[in-house]
Formats: sequence, structure tokens, C-alpha cells
Amino acid sequence: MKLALKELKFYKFKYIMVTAILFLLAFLVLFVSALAQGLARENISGIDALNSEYFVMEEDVENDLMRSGLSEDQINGVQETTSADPLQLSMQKIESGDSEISLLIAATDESKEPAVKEGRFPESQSELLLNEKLKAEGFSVGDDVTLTNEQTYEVSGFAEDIMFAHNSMAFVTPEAINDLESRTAALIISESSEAERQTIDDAPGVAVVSASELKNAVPSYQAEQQPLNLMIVFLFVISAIVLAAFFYVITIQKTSQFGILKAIGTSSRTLAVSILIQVILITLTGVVLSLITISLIGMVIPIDMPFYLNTNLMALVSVLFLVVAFIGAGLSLVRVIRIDPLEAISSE
Amino acid sequence: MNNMTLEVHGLTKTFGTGDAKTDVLKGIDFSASSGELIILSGASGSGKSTLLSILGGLLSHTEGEVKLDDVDYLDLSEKELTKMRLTDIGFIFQSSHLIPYMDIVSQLSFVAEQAGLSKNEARKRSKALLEEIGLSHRFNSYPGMLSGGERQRAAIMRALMNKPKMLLADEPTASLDGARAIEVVEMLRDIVKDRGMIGILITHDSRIFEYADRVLTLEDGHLKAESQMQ
Ligand SMILES: Nc1ncnc2c1ncn2[C@@H]1O[C@H](COP(=O)(O)OP(=O)(O)OP(=O)(O)O)[C@@H](O)[C@H]1O
Ligand SMILES: [Mg+2]
Repeated sequence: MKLALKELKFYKFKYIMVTAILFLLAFLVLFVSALAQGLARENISGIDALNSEYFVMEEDVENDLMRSGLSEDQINGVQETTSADPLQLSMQKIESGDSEISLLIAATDESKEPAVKEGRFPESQSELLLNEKLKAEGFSVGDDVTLTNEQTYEVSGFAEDIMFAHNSMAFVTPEAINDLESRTAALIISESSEAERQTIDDAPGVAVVSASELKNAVPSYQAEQQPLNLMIVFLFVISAIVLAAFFYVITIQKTSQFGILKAIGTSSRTLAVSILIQVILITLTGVVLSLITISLIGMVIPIDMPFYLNTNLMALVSVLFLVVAFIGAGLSLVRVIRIDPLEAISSE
Repeated sequence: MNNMTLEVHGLTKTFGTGDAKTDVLKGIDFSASSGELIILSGASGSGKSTLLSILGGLLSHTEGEVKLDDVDYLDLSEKELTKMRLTDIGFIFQSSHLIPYMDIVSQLSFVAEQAGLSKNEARKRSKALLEEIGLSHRFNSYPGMLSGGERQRAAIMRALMNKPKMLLADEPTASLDGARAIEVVEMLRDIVKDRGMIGILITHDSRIFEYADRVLTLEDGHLKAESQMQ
């Protein structure tokens, strides 16, 4: 302990540099991950909001929700087999200042309504619930929104994260969506057995699709997540190499000092503990600083930016960095334990 | 002060195998007792450092035995030897080999703390030793701020922190000028006498021989002509 701290203090500059580089690497990983998560949510959070594991949709549309439509007969057939609620969709455009925004209007049974963050869920036919990101466009509760049928709806509230394929969603009541050019795109299965799903799937023209199949069929989702995830993996690999190399080089530089310490009777254990303490301190400092920085950025970043931080991600990144640093330190430890004090002394 | 001895019997050291085989020590026998300062001399490459390193538990031997205070320690494990270097054997090197990032007081107290002394006790002992050699004004200095002589004296005191039984010094004066060298040797002699330790010192410098009780000369793998001084 004493050894570790005294050395960190004496070679402040060197260790501050290492901490700074570690901080930057951790920050970069967190930032790209937050970006990936943010983009992911713009693509699929609308599906998550429906809170179901299985959906029924038209067959032969490659699981593309936007192309799916079910007939009255098909809907009845499914509902006779299992408990399922229709999901009705209508693609609309609304005006915001000079530009038009695409809005995917949705309606479903009360039990499938997404969680409201501000305001409340529409109660009358002339109300709608908007995605929170539209606040950035200047919308607020009580505003009027005109859809393509020339009807005006009042914003009753906002929900966090209801987006599909980069389009904001808006929820209206099932009665209200009938006024729009809508269709039943899918059914949301609440609870079902394997056999029930098989029966539905066997029926002509319909397919049972899991939530993850539905998400993976969103073209922009796949296209964005793959390169980003690859980037994150590479960032980790690079960080691992850089950190391991750093800790290794620092240890090698200290070979003769460790040799002297051993010659005057310092046990390998004391030296190993000293290295571990340094690695833990440096890594924790760098990672904690990066967590603080990314959290501050998360607080001030505009709501319409694709950026999402969750604690799981932050914990995962922190743990991975610690593990990587420990592997780096581990390599050096083997070296330190093998140092021959005599060699270290005479090589000076 | 209890009387103890260092006994070396039939000590040999062979480096390498086959064609590269060199017998550096071919059978060393000698003994030393408390309060005795022995100078080890001999031509360059005669094996002085090799012998001292074996005595200090830093190098493995080939054959023979060495007993310090009746403990045969050459075959101890690496861990036990490290412990022994901490508490029973004080080593002084040609250059001081102080740790650059510790101030002088911590430098000394560190080894005592390693041996289990409390922080307060260790610092007290460290300061007392440094005062003894006139370094009290340097307590908080780092090695880089000291002169070569000051560094070497601090390193000697570091070797004494755990009250070792034996003090081994490999050319401790080689990097010092004549006057400083004699100062250091006088200091070593006084330490060995006052504390009843066994001291073995390697040197090439014949001006220093007179400070020792005995001079042993290594030649062709054997100790030659134990010249009795005084
Ligand atoms: N690790 C080793 N492997 C092989 N040979 C070695 C090794 N260490 C020392 N020797 C050889 O052993 C002999 C004695 O070396 P040693 O360092 O003990 O000499 P020395 O008497 O201390 O010399 P000097 O006065 O120059 O310091 C030399 O011939 C050296 O080459
Ligand atoms: Mg030598």
C-alpha cells in the first residue's frame, strides 16, 4: 500500500497521463455504446413499448410490420385460438414549422398502452399521445395537431421511447384510428402456449413472429447496429491492448527497482499487491471520471439526439475495463514474480 | 551480545554446463565471528561477487554449506530466503540502490515495517539511525537530492534497520572518492564492532585493507593467504 501510493505520488505526471488515456478510452466506449443504444431505441422502442413476446402478422412480408395487414377473418381466427389484441397503424404526416414530420399513428387495446411520461393517455377521439422526442420540435401538452384527414387532435401527453424505424409514434384511441386510413397490421399476443402459436402459424396467410424477429426485420435497425457493435468490440480490443501494454511497460521500467526491493527482502507478494493497488486506483479513477462525464453529457444532450444511457451498460463497461486492466496487470505480475534480484542489480 | 559465527564449508559454484561450464568457486572454507570485519579481495572475475551473492541468499550454490548462527540457510525456499534477507542479512551495493520515490526516512522505515514493526516504531528507528550518521537535516529529502556519499550512508543504514546478523557489502566505496571511501569504511567498521555483527566487504582498494580484521583473497576458485592485519 505504502509502496504503491508513494510511487503514484512521486511520478504524478506519468500516472495522470495513464489515467487520462484510460478515461478517454472508457469515455469513447461509453459514448459509442450510448449512441448505439439511442439509435436502437429510435428503431424498436415502439415494439418494446407494446410489451409482448409474440405478435401475429401477415405471412410473406418478411416480418416487416409496415407491410403487414390482416383481414377481419384472420383476426377473428387468431382471437378464437388465443388472447390477442389488434395493433392498428396508420402512417401520417404532420406539420412542424416549415417541415413535415412522419408520424406513425397506432391504436391498441387499453392493456397494451405504452407508459405515459407526461400528461395522460387519450380519453376522447380527438386526443393523441406523442413521442417525447417531438418536444424538441416545440410540441407540448394541449397543442393541436392536424393529420391528413384534416382533423385536429389535441396532445394529451407524451410517452418516452415510442419509435419505430426512426419514426415517432403517436397513440390514439381505437375509435379514433378508424377515422384515419388505417389497417390492422398485427395482433399482440398476451399469453400463449407453444401449441396455440403453432395452430395460428399453420393458418393460411398469418405468421407468429417473436419480438426480436420483428425488431431484426426493421431495415435501419440492422444496418445501424451491426457497424456500431463492431466498433464497440474493436474499441474494447484496442483498449485492452493499450491498457495491457501500458501496465506492462510501466512494470518493465521498474524491473531493477523491484529487483532491489526483493534483494533487501521485500516479498513478491508485497510487490504484487502494490501493482494491483496501482492498477485498481488508476482504472477506477479513469472509469469513474468517464462515467461522470458521460452522465453529464446525457443530462445536457438534446432530447432528439439518439443517445441513451442505461445503468446496465455503464456497469458492464466499468466491469469490462477493470477486467481488462487486471489482465494487463496480471501479465506484469508474472514478470515481477520472476524477477531475479541479482540480475536486476547487476544490470544497472 | 551473543556470540555467533558464520561458517562456510566446501562451498562451490559452477556456472553453465558442458563446454560453457566454468567453476568459479572450487571449495571455499572460512569462518567469521561477531564483531569481525572481513575484506574480500581478488582479481576482477575471481568470483568475489559470486561468493557474496551466495552468502546473501541471492544466488544458488552448487555444493557445500553455509551456517549463520547455526542455521544452514542455502537450501531454504525462495520465500524463506527473502525473509532472511529482510531480517538477518544486510546488503549494501556498489551504488546505493535507494528507491527514488521514497524520502530518506520512509526509505529506511519501509524495511522495518516489512519486518512487522509498527509505523511509529519504524520511523523512530529510522530517524535515530539517520541522526547517527548526520543526516538529520535530510529526513524528508528524496535520494535524487542527496550527494553520492550521503546516499551510500543512507543505504548502509537501510541495511541496518532490521538489526541483521551479517552485513555484506559489494564494493560499497567504488563510486566514492578516496576521502569519502575511507569515511564509509570507518563507518562500516564501527557498525560491525559496536553491534557485534559479521561484516564482509569486497574491495579492490588496498588503502582500505587496514580497516579490516582480515583480508581474504580469492584466486583460482580458492581463498588464498589469509593475511592477518593489525
Ligand atoms: N550468471 C553467470 N553465468 C555465467 N558466468 C558467470 C555468471 N556470473 C558470473 N559469472 C562468471 O563468474 C566469474 C566471477 O564473477 P564475479 O562477478 O563473481 O567476479 P568478481 O570477482 O566480482 O569480479 P569484479 O571484481 O570484476 O566484480 C566471472 O568469470 C564471470 O564471468
Ligand atoms: Mg564483483
